[in-house]
Amino acid sequence: MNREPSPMVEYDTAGENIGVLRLHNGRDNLVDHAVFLDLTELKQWLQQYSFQGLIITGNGRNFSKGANVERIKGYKDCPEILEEELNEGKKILSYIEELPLITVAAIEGACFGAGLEIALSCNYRLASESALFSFPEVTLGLLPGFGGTIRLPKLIGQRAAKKLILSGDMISAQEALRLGLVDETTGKKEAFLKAVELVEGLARRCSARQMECFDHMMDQPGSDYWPVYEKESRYFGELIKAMDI
Amino acid sequence: MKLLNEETKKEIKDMVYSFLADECEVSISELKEDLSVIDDLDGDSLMFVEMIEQLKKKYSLNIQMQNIGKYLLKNPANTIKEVVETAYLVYEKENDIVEAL
Repeated sequence: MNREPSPMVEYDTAGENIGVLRLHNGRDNLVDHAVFLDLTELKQWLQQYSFQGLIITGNGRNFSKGANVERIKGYKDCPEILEEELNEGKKILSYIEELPLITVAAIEGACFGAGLEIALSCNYRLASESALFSFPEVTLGLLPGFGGTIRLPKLIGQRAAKKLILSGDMISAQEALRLGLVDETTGKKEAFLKAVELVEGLARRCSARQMECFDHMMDQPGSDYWPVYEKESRYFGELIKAMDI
Repeated sequence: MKLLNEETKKEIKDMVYSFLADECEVSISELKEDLSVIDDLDGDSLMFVEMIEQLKKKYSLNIQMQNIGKYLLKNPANTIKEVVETAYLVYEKENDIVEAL
């Protein structure tokens, strides 16, 4: 079987200087390979355009129905290769997660497994009212392996995450909203538009440097806050110097 | 069990047709009851679940997605006619639909 990465992302733009990563792979946007995009290419693209926000969405009816199970089966005899590829893929998700930009997943239709794990790397998830969510890995004897077991509990708490992951149940957008998995539900086919509005609304009020400083603050570990307070003061001083008034 | 009168039946049928037309990007007039949602309209199995979610919201039905899934595994709704009939059944039986297995 071909184990070469198969990028499944189209680069696009929208609204006022917003980058768009559009997942595309057939009707279901299956994630064939953990290295679902070329990280170097993504970095170059982001550097070139200095976007104020990034939206990840799916081409067509679904965000993504998750990993291509048939391909995963092909790694049965060489799981160490899959492990390496997953680690490479996770570097992409961590890079997206740490971007000093407003990142939003705009979700229509199915958002399952690896697709949901990609969505979890964003700051916000906006979902159409008819979107469906699931971590179906348990039904295959697996667990989420693309950061989902770490990011989901961080987002919705251990109890709810455990239930979603261990049951493999599919939940509606309304239930996802109740759990805090999504930030807002929208009308059908409106998730992308609302994502653009969200990015523009937030980005309008702050400069790129403010965003960068804020992101550096967010990166700090929960312990030993004093250096962080100092850093906050330093950034505050720096930003005062750059104020318009 | 809810009683399904003719007026609600028509409402549900119209809703199914309108949903399928919108999702499959065809006009309502093109939808014939013996068409297969998957083979003829290029739909997918999750569309049915999405549609039942709409039905659930509209009529405040007490039906869990898992129960719809269980029912559909045994009674797949392939044609538009079958989709409409399953929607009627969901309205009437709600979660008790699994007892119809």
